[in-house]
Amino acid sequence: MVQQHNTPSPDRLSAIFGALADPTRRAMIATLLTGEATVQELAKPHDMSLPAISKHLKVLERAGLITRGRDAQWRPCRLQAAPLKEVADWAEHFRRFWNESFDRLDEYLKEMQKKEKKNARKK
Amino acid sequence: MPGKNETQVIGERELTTTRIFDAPREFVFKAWTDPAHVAKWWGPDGFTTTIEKMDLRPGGEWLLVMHGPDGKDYKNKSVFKEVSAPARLVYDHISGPRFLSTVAFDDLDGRTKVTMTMVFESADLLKRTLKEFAADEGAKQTLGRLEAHTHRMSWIGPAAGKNSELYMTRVFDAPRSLVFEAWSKPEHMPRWFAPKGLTMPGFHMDFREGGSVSMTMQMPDGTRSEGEGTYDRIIPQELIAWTSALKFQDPPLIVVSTVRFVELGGKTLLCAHQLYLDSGNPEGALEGWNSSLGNLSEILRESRG
Repeated sequence: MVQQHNTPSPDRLSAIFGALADPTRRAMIATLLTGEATVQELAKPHDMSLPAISKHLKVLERAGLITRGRDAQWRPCRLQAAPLKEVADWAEHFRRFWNESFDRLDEYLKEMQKKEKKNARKK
Repeated sequence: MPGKNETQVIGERELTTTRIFDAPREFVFKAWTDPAHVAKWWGPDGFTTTIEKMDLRPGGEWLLVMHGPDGKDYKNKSVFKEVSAPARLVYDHISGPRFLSTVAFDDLDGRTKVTMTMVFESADLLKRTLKEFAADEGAKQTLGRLEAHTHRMSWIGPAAGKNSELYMTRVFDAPRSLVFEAWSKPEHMPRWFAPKGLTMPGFHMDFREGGSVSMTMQMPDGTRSEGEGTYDRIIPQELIAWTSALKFQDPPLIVVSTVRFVELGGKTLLCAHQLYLDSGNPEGALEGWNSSLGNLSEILRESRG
């Protein structure tokens, strides 16, 4: 597998996918699309404790999807645009998709061949 | 398979090695001209190679170090004289032994004939190179390693805006007729096409040129993603080309796909190419992510361990 300079590393992509896989975190991203927000504002639509919300924010932050202000008291969250652009790199996604499909095809062809042999014996 | 489809002629001061590759020309040329790929196959059996510089322009330098099985390093320096994608490469190997190398890539309808001609400075130099470095055997082995590499490679083509393209090869240990069948019959496609963890609650295919194909993939959380397309071109046992609209975002992502099936002595080489035409706005793409492909990629990651 060759990693081109203009595409993010698999680890980096995995972190982004992992962060986006959770519905709560996706909802947070959707909120942040409209502008920056505080932890309290992000927590409002969810029935969750503030520590639980903070955990989700940390995952988003580690994936580089959001940044947080320096002010210790307020620390507004804001969407980081660049990683989402990386996510829109279709070729990289489909490379994974095809790799996975081809693995399954490989298995399936073995099954097909077994069946063919069985049928040949019956005849 | 050494010796297969391979010929070699030793002239007075030239050495010509020809091999017919079971791989399309764009794959062979890419493997030869992208340093990340070259590093994976360059050199005789047992060697590894570090590419220090590969400036593919006339006058551009090509510096590489071959690491021999005996632990010795061999530095090589060449200068490109001609780079005509995807048909011809000429370079002057200026670190000793000096020779001018011409590599021609001929398209043989899905296969590729590679002719590598090394013209040495003198008949004596060729003789010595054959004796000291077994250049004839080395050239054969190098081309053999190149062919093996073209059977399992992938790369992402240059993106214009948000459009991009993907090239990929894979060998399947099954006869070509069976592999083609797996792609062309509605009872087979849904069994393998969707990655692990996904189900395909809806699938329809009308396998003929102009016929339609549609599918619905479902994530474990119930999220569905639909796609539909048309078969543009079908050559039985050889090629399938189709265009599809994937509706996880609005406007949909348009994907133009071609898969080519190459007979490989009982096995089958699959060469896939996909072009992604994205007319979506960034927000639309993000919404698409929220609904499906993000989950999909996560599932892929998990199933790979």
